[in-house]
Amino acid sequence: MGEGEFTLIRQHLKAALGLSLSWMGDHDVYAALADAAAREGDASAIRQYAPQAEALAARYGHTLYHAIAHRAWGVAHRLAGEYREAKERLSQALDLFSGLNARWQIGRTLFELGELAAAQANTAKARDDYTQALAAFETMRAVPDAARTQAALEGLPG
Amino acid sequence: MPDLSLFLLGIPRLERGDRVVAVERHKALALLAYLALTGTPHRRDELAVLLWPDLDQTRARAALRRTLSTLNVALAGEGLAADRETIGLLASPTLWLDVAHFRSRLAECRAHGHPGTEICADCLAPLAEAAALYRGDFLAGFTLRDAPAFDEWQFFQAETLRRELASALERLAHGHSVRREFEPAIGHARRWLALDPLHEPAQCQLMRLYAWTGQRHAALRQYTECVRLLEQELGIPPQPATTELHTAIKENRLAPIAELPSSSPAPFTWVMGALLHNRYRLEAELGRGGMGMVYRAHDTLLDRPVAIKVLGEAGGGTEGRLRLMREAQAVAKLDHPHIVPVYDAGEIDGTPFIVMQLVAGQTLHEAGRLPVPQIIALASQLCAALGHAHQRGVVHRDVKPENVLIAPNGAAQLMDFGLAHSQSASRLTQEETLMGTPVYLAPEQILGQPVDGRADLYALGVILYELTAGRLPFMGDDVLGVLSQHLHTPPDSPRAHRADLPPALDALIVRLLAKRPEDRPASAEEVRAVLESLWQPAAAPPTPTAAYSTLDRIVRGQLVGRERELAEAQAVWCRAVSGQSQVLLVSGEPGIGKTRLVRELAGMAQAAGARVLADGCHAEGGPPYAPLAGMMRQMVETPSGPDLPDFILADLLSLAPHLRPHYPHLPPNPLLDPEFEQQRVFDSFTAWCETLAAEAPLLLLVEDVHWADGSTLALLRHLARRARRARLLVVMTYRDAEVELDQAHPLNAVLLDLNRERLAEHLRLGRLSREHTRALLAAMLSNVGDISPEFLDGLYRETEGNPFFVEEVCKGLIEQGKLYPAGGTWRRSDMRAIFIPPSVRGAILARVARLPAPAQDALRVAAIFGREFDFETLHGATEQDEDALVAALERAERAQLIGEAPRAGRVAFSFAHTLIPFALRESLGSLRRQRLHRRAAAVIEAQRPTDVEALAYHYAAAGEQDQAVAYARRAAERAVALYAYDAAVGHLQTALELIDAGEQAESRLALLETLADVHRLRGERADAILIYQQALAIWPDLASADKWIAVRLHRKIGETFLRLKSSANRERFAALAQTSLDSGLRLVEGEPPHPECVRLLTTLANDRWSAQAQQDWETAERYARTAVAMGEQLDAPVELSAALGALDTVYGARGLYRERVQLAQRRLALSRDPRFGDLRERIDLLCQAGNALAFVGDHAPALPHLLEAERLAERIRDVSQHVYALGLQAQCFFGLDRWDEMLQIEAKRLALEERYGRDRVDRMCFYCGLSANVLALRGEVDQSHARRDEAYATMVGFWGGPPEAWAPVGHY
Repeated sequence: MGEGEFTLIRQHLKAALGLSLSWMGDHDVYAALADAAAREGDASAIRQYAPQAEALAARYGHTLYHAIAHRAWGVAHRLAGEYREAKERLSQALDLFSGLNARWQIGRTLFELGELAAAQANTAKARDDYTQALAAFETMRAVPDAARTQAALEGLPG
Repeated sequence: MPDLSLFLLGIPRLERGDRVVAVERHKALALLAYLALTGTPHRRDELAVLLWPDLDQTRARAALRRTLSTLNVALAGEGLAADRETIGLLASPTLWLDVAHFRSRLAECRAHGHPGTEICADCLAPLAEAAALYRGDFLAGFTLRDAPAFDEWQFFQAETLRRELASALERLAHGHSVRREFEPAIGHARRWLALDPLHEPAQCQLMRLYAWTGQRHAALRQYTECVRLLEQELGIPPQPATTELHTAIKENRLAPIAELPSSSPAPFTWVMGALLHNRYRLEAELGRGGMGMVYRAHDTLLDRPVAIKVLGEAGGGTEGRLRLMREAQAVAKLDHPHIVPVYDAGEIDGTPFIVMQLVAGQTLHEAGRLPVPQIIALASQLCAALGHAHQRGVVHRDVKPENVLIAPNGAAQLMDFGLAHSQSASRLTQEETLMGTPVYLAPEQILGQPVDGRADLYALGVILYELTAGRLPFMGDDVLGVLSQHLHTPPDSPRAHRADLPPALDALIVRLLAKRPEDRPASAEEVRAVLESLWQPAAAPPTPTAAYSTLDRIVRGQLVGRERELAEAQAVWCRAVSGQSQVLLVSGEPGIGKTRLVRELAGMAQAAGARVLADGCHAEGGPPYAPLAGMMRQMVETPSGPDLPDFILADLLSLAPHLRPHYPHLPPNPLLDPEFEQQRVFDSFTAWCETLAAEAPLLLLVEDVHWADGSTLALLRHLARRARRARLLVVMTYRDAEVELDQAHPLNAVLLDLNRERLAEHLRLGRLSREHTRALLAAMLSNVGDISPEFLDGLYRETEGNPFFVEEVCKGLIEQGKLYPAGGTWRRSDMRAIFIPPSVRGAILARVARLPAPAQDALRVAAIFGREFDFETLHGATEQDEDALVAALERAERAQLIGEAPRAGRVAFSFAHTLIPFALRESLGSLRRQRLHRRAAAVIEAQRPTDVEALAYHYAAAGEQDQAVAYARRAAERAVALYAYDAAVGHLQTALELIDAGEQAESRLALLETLADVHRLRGERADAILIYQQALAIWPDLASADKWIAVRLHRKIGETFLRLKSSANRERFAALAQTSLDSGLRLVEGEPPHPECVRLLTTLANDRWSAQAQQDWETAERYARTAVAMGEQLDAPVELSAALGALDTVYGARGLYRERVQLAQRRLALSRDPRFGDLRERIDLLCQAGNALAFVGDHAPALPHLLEAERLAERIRDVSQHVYALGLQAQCFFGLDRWDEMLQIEAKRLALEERYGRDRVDRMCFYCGLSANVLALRGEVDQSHARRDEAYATMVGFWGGPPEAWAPVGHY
């Protein structure tokens, strides 16, 4: 996505919270906001939206959104240097996505695990995670994500 | 073998294999044509400006992206070469372009080594192929109104290609003529001339060809036509060379044609002394005919003189030659003294020839005027010849004077049996001209219908007419006009032109010229018997002949003073034929000639190969959709017609239930909600019309739509909107004064819609000018001599140029003997003795008054039935015995006040004009009229008891209140069952007016409730509420005082209010609805459970959560739970499901989404109960269950419900639910990261929406957002932006501005 586009998305989604839309609930909006914030790496926004996203997902038994909330939390923890918490959250997300067989989401979560490993200077783990993420993206023909992951692989030392 | 074929010459189309590929956008086709023809890549900006000049650069590029995307789909991803800057077509051997081939064929001739303007024998084939490729002008009928630069480019390309075609046709005409292949030469010359009728070289070439082929008169007529056109269009005389040519032809001084230089071996030379097939020595040229040359030759084998006819191409190519040879073989088996025998047939250098008996003498065409006895004798001999051939299965198909030889002993011999026949010779197509003259063609030949010996008898009738009357029965400057007369215009009697003609011969000729084969004599033997009886009049058995009437001298059917209107109507028809479906509205006062004009147009259309279905509306009403049901009946009774899927046929039968006996095994379609079912039935009617129009251009003619019921008008409007690309023209006539003076007339709303959406062209017919009135008189009274100004003034003053009035006045004067034929001309009495009635009504009544009393009585009774009536019904209503009635009707027919109206299985008549029964009814006193209506009702009740609409009408007019009310109710019920809600309202209101207020409370309440229900179905909810109130006001007067009736009415008021849309109406009725529901609640307090109570409580629950009730969720939930409990107790699954639905709404508002899943699944289980009759309800519940599951992220479990919903929706063709189910599936696939399936589903959904329209824009945009998201995630940025932009533009267009919440990417 282009620069500033997440900001735009966030503005529109926040506006949607104030409207009564029969085909879109608050849980949808909070999940999208949390996910957008995670993609942008905006830790404060994640902490603003992820709790509500998680709570609503738990209330409705929405497995997909629950997993998205976990992943967002994982990103927030990584950015704060809370690597153990980040690993826990990302693993939970990966388990839930795997149960749904949501391949793109699995790829994105593996990418975040790769980011986490890279942050911990665990190059081998990072390479492994990025490689798996790349495979998932290539299967889905998610070209921009695949390119991003490839760039991340090439950016690893050694 | 090319995979893709692009046709740009003619109506543009793209084909893959043998299937047409739909190109969804107009501009995509324009872009493809531009790229294909220019053959080079173009910059994106250039293309954007070319096609979207009014948009700014950004939006134009966005539009270009979307169009590219559409084009890519049409080309299946192949063929386009696009990068960021340029767009072009890949050079590919699998893309075939007709323009390219056209030009390459033309270019072949340049390799022959002669100048381009000249021609050699090797040029003919490629030039002919090029001419055949040119099916029509470049991008015929295609235009981009908002892209003038593209239009200009298109215009110049079209002009260039036209010039190239003209050059090719010129060379073909010349090339064939020097080879003495005159028939193809004439064909090419005519086509060349048709490109530009003012082009004198083409005129001259055609004149020469006619002259070379012995058609000297045709050549001279061509010159006359040339002079006329040049004068009319340019105001100039022909060039001296043209005039010189004319003189040379006239004086038989035309030079013979020069030989053609050839690069091929010389063909057989048709010179005197040459030996053909080593047997026939050519001795002399006898003459040249339309089909080739005729030689006298000597059969050296049998030592006898023969005639050899060298035939040109007939029907084209190898197939045509083979057909000719088979015909020759058939004819060779004929052996009759009045048939020129065929001895031999063969072919040399690809040119067929036939060897026949050499007959000295002249053709009938050359014989000139003959005495009647000789005419009879010749005709008798021709009948003998035709009878012999017909018995052996041979039909001549080209009987004309040129094909009849008269031997020196006076005997007639018929020649050229079927040999001149060409499949295309009897039809006039858009691009070709008629081969041969149309004057002897039978109507069935013109229409391309199966032909038998009776077509030859028709031609014999034309010949006899020509010989006896000295002129042809149908004449005109315009070929189509002549053909139209063959189809529709009754010929005037030959005795009008030759008074000494025996009446029996006159009657025979008229019978031979009957339009329908079954109305002509059945065989040549029958005709011969009549002719021979004329020889022995004393011994002849009395043959019934029609009594000859002076009125028959009037020439009927010529269209006068409407040239401009007819030209405009033809232009509209041409646009329709090119695929731009149109509506043509023809309006004017009664008698102004609307029917005459539209019938002329219909005749021309039929002659050009179109299918015409015609019917009309009547003042006395009738069943809903009557004219359209009549058209369906015409198709059902015609053996040829397209095959239709069963579900479409089943829907059509619901509009025309009387046709069901033709399809006894066809089951009806599943019953659905009435509002939806009308939509589906209308769609099926549209599909039927589109299928017919795909076979041949279709003209639907509906007359007098000012009398049409609202449902017929609604269906016609639906057809006009939906079938825009079909080759369809809907013609409607109406009386504008009746419509424009009544604002509430249902036609006004339809006219407004058609005009606003630019679907209609309008022709208003005004009165004839004085000059045109004079021309009309002159046309009616041929050989009129001078029309005195005094007579014309008097006539014009009273009739004011109304054609029907003029005709009636003339008929009246003839009947009075004030206008009479004498000495071959018409004369009139002194003007002081002539009284012209001041009104058309007066003219009609005066003519009726001159009939014998029984005829007058019969017509007055018939007028009660309407414009059409059948004999049996009339007989039942009159007091005359059958014979007297027959005589009375015959007398009226001779007076041209009525005519027979062919109907399957019964004898029916029709008044000559709608004004006649109207005038007759008006002339009756009210008491007599009432009595006649009563009699009519009694007869109809006995003979056609299911004709409830007619019974309601007649009983009401007879003042029989009870009967009228009962039949009006039944008519209303039938109308509702046919979704004819306007008609239903009409019948119910009639019934209500017949019941006085205060009487028959039960009936009145029931009628009011039904009326309110119908208003609800029509979406007129405010009217429905008011009428329910009126019914409630009557309830206390009911003897039974059944409280559930009142509860039901209160509930209906509440339900109707909930669906009210406009805020003004909601405010007005808010308090009323509240009161009503509360009243209903009070009535049911303490009552045992009842289904009506469940419904009431459900309505109350729905009412309480509505905005007006400030969303009182607690109360809503309480009512809903009570309704659910009662529904469970009563085992009422339908009511229970509705109650659960109300509870579901409450849960949704409270965010109880998991609970909603359980409710939805419970409702789904209930829907399996057979008491749930509406399949659409089940589909809705499946979608709701799927939606509820998807809402909580259970996408995988949701999918089976949604797939089932899709399957059922597709089965019953519920497009709205189909689209909805697909959208929800897309959402689920997106949530499961199954992107490929998601995009496939999206493509399906978009295609349906594109075809049927978008009913929920916000949903549409949401799903577009999903697919835009996926495309972006795949890096397909252009397509993603295009999808997003399109969704955005649609929303802006829908709401008139940016939406409140617009997420540029979709969420999960």
